[in-house]
Amino acid sequence: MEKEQSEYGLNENRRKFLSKVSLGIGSLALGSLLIPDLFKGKSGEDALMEALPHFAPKAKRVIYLFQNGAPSQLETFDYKPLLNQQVGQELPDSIRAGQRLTGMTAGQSSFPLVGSFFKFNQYGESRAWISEAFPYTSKVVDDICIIKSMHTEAINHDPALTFFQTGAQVGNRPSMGAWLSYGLGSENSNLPSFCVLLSRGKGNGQGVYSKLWTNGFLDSVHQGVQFSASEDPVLYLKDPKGMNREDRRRMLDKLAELNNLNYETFGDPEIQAKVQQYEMAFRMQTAVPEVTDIKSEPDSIIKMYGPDCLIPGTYAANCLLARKLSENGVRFVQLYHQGWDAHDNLPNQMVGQAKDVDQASAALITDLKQRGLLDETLVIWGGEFGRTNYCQGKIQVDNYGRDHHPRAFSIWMAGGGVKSGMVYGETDEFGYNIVENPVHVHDFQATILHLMGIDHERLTYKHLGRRYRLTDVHGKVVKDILV
Amino acid sequence: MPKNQKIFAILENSLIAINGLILILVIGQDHIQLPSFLEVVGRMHPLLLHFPIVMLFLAALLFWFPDALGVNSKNAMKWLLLSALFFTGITVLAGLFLSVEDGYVKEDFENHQWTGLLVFWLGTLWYWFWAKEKLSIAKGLSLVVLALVLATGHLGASLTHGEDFLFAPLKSDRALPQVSFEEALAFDHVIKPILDQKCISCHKAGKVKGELRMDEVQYILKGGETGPAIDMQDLENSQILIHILYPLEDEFHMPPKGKPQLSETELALIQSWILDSAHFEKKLTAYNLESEFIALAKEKFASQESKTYSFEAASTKTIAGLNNDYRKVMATYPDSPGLRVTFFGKNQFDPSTIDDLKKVKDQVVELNFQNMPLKDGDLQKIANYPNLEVLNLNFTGIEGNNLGELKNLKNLTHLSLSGNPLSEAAFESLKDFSQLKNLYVWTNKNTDAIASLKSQLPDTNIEGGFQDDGTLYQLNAPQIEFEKSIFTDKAEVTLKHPIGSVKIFYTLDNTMPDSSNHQLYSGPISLDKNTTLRARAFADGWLGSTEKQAVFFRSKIQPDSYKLTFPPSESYKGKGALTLFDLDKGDDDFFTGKWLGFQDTPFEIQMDFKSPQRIQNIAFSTLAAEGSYIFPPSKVEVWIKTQNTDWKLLDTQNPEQPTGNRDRILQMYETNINQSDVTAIKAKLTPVYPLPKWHPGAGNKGWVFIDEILIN
Repeated sequence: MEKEQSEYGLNENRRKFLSKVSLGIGSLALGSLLIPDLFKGKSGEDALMEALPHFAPKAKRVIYLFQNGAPSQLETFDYKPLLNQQVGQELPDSIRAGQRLTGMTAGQSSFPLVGSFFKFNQYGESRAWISEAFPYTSKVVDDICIIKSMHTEAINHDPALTFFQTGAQVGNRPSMGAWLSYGLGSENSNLPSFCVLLSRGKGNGQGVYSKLWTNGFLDSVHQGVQFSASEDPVLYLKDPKGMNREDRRRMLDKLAELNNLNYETFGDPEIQAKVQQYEMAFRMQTAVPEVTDIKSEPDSIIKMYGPDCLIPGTYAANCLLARKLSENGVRFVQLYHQGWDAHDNLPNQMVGQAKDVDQASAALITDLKQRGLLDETLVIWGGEFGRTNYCQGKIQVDNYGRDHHPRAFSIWMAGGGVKSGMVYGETDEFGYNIVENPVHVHDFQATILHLMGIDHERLTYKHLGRRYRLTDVHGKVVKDILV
Repeated sequence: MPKNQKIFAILENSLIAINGLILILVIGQDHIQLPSFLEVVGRMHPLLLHFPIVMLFLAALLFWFPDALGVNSKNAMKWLLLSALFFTGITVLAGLFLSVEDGYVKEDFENHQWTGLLVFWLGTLWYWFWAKEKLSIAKGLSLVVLALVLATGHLGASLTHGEDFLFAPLKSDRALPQVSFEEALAFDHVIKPILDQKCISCHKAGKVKGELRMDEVQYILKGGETGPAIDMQDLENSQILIHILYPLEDEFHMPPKGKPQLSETELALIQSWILDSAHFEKKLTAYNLESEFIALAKEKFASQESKTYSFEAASTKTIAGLNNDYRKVMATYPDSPGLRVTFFGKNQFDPSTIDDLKKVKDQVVELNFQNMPLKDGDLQKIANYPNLEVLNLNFTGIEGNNLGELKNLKNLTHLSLSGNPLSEAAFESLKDFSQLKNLYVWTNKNTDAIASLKSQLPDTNIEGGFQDDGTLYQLNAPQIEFEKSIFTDKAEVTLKHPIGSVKIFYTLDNTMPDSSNHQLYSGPISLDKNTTLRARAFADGWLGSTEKQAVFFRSKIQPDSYKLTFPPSESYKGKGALTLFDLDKGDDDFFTGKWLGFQDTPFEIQMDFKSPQRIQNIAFSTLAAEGSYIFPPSKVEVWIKTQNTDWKLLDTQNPEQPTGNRDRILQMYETNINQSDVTAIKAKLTPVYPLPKWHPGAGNKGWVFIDEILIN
């Protein structure tokens, strides 16, 4: 018994304790010497996110000119003379191949083909066909890459818009701009990284909703900031009379202290998001008036965009504002121009809509180019799906309408690592099916992310147990159109 | 014999038998043909060898430290050593069976074979001397055996994994020097890396499967068992091609199933390179750029767009320290030592902060100053960045007189000077910038200077930007700003236009403003009576704008009290009679509460004045919207009462009734009074009843709507 007792006693004395402890600490030290990053301990997600961008980007910013309502590709960039020759004839079943119809034309007993009211011509070195409704775009045709073989699954506006912006037809997912904001942040910390500008056309309009620039399940700092269509693009930015900037700063500091107390109690990340947004607003107070001051633009710029650009809320004004925002480091600027949904009265509506957007879109490209910014800014123009080659309702000589068509439509992209002066993809002579190089919406999204230096399969966020990404589980980068 | 003894005897005898077999195999090596089941045994060699290694070490442990395991050492030692030697023998046998198979170069494996054999033989001797109690010799032998085990093991591993296997991770030439597309060689930089990664592990010096080595060009051409890997005379039938194109399930498919396979791109690259004459020395640029091989090769370089820089990266701490809200410093792409600096916030810009960047002056590759106010003198600071490639000076306001200071920046490829008032001297000095690939000098002037610059710098892409081709655009209409359109005394109206250089012409007498009757706007206009203001904007180089119109009403006199005889309709009662005098003009939306509506009863109001007033006229502002059953009143009657007289009917009007639906219009009915001592006015507007035949509601009661009464 004595032996055991003395042994037990030995186990408890200082000597043993110190020697054991020193062994433990010593091994930690050894570990940190051998593996210097041992204690930097980043979780998997952090390590993933720090590695962005994944490779050298071509484009640093995006300006997305979204034509809401779906412009008819047969009246813009897809020249189909066969339709003009076969006006009134039935759409052959072999061509239609069981494409589902919307509720608006499903009841039609016949599907008469109708050719475009507009004349087409070839332009530029790329010999691209462009309709006469877009004279200014035809002048910059050698700077853009027209993709005629876009396709999607959605047949109505809401799911199609959601699909384009978030990668899925059901809502609640983050939008493209939110993903880019999450991945790359803003170059200029005084401006939001994702801005949205809306404009109304005179044609048949469909609504846009904030679901299209939502942050989904990402942090709410990544939400798109919608600018208002008035002289003051961001409301309530000025301090009220009697309050100066230092006061504002002190107020925000105290507010942040209170918020942080709350955060320490509850740990709700939305509180931090809110604090960040207050800070961003503080910086925006000085940055936004400077950036959105359209009056300081020289005359030649105004002439280039057209005098509309001085009227806030028009598409031209938004284009000019988009250039200014992008020039100042905003990562993703999205414009929505409504009114393209020409179910009837298409020729008239088309003229008006085209006039709204043509000059300003072409001017945007020229403007960026002359500042040397086109190489690093990706400009995209397009809608959510195309329109049918058959008429909705009765055909008249100068009045016809087209229904929605998801199987083939046209968009163009310019700058930011995209080949210029190129036409990619082909549709059949009826303008109904794609025959060459189809580009699905997911492929389109993957390509945009690729140009921004992101591998679309690696930009993920874990939510409700599984990882999500913009391209869902699909999408291949379209290498052919990359420089 | 006790059991132990029996087993020991068996083991000892088997050792002799194994030795005998080994001798036969070693001596008769190449002449022996093995049945296939023995080849299977041979393949167990990598499995079996683990046993003798462990057991020999344990035996040595027990031999040197008999008390270590606390067991009866003599017996245990005998067991252990004998079993170890038995397993050694079997391992050696298996190894000898395995050696009959191909794939191993004789020289390399001979060393391994002899050291292995020595392990067995010297081990046996160790046992023998130990049994004979010659302990010192036994001890010496045991050490030699252990050393030989290590040597055999190492040599064996070299056979399987390659000579440099052990120290390979430390060897630093794993990463190939990055070359650009222009400098790359077709074989060395595109094909060889694939072979190195996927083929060399089995086809190199020391491991020559199929007698083929692929680690050097001469061996690839020499080939192996089935022929040259690349047959320059018959490219299509080159062995590499045949083997990589076999289906995966085929036993001859290379790389073998279970090893990392060639990716689609790699397969296509090798195939297209071979079929394109398999040039070993050619540079990529010497190829036809449209060929499939180049298209695939480009992809490889596209993802390696990362340029390599010769300078070292700055520390992350320095970079982080240079970042603030108005200046962003970051690497051009992940892990690049090159830095990109962008400035924001015109109002916060301080040119002296450029000096902060001195710490990273070797690393700065891109500088973006656009929209920051710079002076020509600041350019001197920029000249200190030797590795600068991209410089953006758009809209900085410089004249560019000392642009010449930048011409020594040899790496400058991209210079943007748009929107600056560049001087002649600036264009002169630009002529020396032959290192530029892109130059942006849009200023909308200096077109000649730009043209001559283009001829001086033929290799540079010069963008002159949008040139105003003289098309006249129409200005947009001016904006008319005012507080209220109905005023009591005076109204102030301001005319504005977003383009500063514009002149605004206006008229107040309801005529179209043009060069003959205009008044030039120079400040807020003051109105004191009912006026229709029409304005247009004009500017040089633009077409005159469309006109903008605004109507103003003066209502100077307000009655001291007023009373409606009949209340207005419930839905259109506004604030009662107060609405009529609140100077708040309604528009054609009659639901806003600014309009009073009357259907069942006429509109009748009595207005009283405490003291006699001089009244010139009274006007009633009404709405006509036939589609909504709102019609001009069928009758307008006005009575006045003066100081001296009683009520008398002054005026009756029968407004013109429409003959069809029109757009909504606002109408005014004026009655001249011209009395100087009016004390009360009574007015009555009678709604239409019945509605005319053409109207969908024919026969029903119409409405009359009124929003203001103006008395002057």
